[in-house]
Amino acid sequence: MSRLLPLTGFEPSQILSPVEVLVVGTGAAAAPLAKELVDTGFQVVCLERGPFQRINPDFAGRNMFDELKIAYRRDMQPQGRDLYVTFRDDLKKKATPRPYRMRVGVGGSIEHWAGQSWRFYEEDFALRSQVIEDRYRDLDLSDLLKNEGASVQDWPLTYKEVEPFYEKIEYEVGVGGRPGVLSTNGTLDRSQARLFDSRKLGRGQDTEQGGNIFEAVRRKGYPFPPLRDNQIDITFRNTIREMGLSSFHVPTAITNETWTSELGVDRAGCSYCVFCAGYGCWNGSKSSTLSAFLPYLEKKNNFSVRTFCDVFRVNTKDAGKGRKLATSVDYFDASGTVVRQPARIVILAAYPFQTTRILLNSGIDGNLTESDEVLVGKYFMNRQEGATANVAFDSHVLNGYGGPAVQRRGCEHFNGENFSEIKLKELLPKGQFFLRGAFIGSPSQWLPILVSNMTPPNIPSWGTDYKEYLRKGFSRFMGLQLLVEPLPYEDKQLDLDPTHKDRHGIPICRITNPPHENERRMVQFIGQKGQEILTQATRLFGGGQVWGESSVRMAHMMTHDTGGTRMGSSPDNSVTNRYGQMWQVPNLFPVGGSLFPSMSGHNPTQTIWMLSSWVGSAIAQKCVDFENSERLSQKGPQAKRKNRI
Amino acid sequence: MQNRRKFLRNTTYGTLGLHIWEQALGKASPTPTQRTYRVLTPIQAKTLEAIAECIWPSSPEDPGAIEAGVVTFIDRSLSEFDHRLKTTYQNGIASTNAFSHSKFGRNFPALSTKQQNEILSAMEQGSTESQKIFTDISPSEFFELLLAHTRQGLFSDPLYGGNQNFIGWKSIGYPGPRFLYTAEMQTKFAPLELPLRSIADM
Repeated sequence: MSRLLPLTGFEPSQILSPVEVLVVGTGAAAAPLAKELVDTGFQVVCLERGPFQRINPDFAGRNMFDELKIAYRRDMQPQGRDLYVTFRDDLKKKATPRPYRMRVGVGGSIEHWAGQSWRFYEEDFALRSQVIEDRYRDLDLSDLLKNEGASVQDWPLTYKEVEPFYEKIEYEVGVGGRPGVLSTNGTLDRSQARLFDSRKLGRGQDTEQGGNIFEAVRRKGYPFPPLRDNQIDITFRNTIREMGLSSFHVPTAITNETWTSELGVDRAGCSYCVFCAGYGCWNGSKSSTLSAFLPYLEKKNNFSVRTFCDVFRVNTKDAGKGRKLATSVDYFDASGTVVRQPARIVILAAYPFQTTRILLNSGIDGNLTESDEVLVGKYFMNRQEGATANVAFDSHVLNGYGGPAVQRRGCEHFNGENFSEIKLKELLPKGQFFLRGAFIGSPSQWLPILVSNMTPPNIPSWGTDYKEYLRKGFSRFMGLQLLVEPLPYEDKQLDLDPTHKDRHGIPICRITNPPHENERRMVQFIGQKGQEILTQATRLFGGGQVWGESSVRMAHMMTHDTGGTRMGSSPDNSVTNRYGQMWQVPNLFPVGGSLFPSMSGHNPTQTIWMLSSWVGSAIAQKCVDFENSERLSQKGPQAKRKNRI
Repeated sequence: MQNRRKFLRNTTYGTLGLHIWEQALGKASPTPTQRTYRVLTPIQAKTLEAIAECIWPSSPEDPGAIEAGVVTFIDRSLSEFDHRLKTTYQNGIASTNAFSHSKFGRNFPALSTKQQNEILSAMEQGSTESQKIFTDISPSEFFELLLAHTRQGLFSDPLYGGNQNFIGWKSIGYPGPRFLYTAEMQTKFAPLELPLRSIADM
């Protein structure tokens, strides 16, 4: 039962005519859903907080080729004191303001993302039943789970159900890769699938055919290959092979040649210009809202985008039995006037911080039960920082400044439960066992200001020795990406800051993100593993200096923000059902990373795209009842896609 | 003055000769007055130049922070993007000189290189001595700021006033922005030796 009250005041000066579907946001969570609904004939209006930039002219030409402007002066992200969040790493502490790192503008943050695009593993959707209660059923995990307040649940959907939507995204939006586990008979039966293991292929061939041998079965390959291997990738792959492990180029949502998507959108090929992760793509080869969706959507007359709409409240009416129905959305327009937009269906796709903030300011706590607990905002997840591994080779030249960030190979041998044997045999006896794992990869995009800030601990950070180090070290430097998978916990949450408000006087989002034992142990293991890999590399490539950390650090938050409106099987344990529909507000759908009940050791974007397409299809194919979230079609939406060879 | 610099650089002494000459003049090199600063006073500019020179010194192989125009970069950013940091810099520079005075009896630019490095190390560590002098900003915070801006002034595009004549990029072997890298360039495993260019040259 709601104890949370909606924000009062800020009454509208203008009330517009109702629209059918109102989508707040235009980023990764919004675009696929908008497409599904537009294709079915719904009228879709997207409200975007920022301006309507376009690839041409805003990202094109020389605009993006400026490390200082974009990476350090944050030109891609909003400036200004109203666009902040507050952050603390402990429930007992007061949170301090931090700049809001997400881009505000049509396309949102997908316009400057790195481009790593993964399907989750099958087990990623069933952490509770498959990992904790099955695989590790004989272990006492209370020191990792119960004692730490972990709240791990399965997703209310399976890989098998969403696999067609992953494929749809790859072919409609543009994701390149090489299969690792490819079906031979059109089913998802792993025993019938063909494995592409880089270790079983001849030297020099594995850039052509190796994939992720741990991946969930794919019915089809990718529409095009991933990016090339560069000096850093070749160094990594040879080292990994020496260690008896497999590697592969990560799947990249970046066209590597000219390509036409299944939506009929023509795309240029990547030119390896380097100003990639954190930058808009100058030629649209990086898949995003602007490059992959907008050219298709803008041709439809039942789709429109309205810019400079700072949405702050969803208005609701009582619908009995603790339920509400959304009636309209309030926003500040460019002049600061409050405008009310009535709508039949409301989608919040504004990034977990903003989506959660809007819900809480609307008095929507997500709780249909008798308790007064606020469920919206709970079980937030973000990458745990602290595991790093860097190397400056003595003579081996890498030219890491000459490739985009996501031109990288990956090693999945220490991700998910792929190394459970090692965990059980070596870590468990030492009391160092942990759940889940981390992606290990070899990124590029080592630009000058960035590398000048990353010196080995024994080198002074200024002076003659520093200069000497950097003169030689700059082009011989690389650092691994170590992407640790965190669990969801009771005390990791998003809520409203009690003190800080935006320039209109509306409370902003507060992030509480304490570290936990599982991640501490994982960071230690993975940090050391990364440093071990690079030490091996120095043995193979003429020596060098390796350095890194392997203990938890809260200095910096990565941008894989998930959780806050988790989906689940019942109103007792989740905020939305399996179609992203709020149990409490049946015509309100908070879509995006906020739906995730658990994280995965992979970048979330392709799963966010997939969920957006899944939810949009469920609405379009009438799998949901807008008056009652519990009346669901269990059959699930079908992914309509063209026949492919 | 510029001709004398060029002459010295081209003699057998080269850049080292220029350096010795500047030392002999007690670092009263004409460089600060040659450049027009928008925000910094001559003393502030001289102090920052001396600090930047400690962070990224000149060497016989290649020029340092002063020639790269790091202080021009800082001055320009204090008049534009970082205008909120003007007072911080004014106070920090004054405190740096006050600290130098309290320890060695002279302002920072007049100290020997060894003494200057001592002052900066003490600031970096946030030594008790330095904490007593710095009031508006902690010595270590100010030092971090100086470090960050010096690096930005060395390695940002020349359009911001620093990295003049690509001095910063040349030092580390970065060729500047380009629209593409070919497969051949990306698998060379040797210095690329590409022509240097800035955003304006693209």
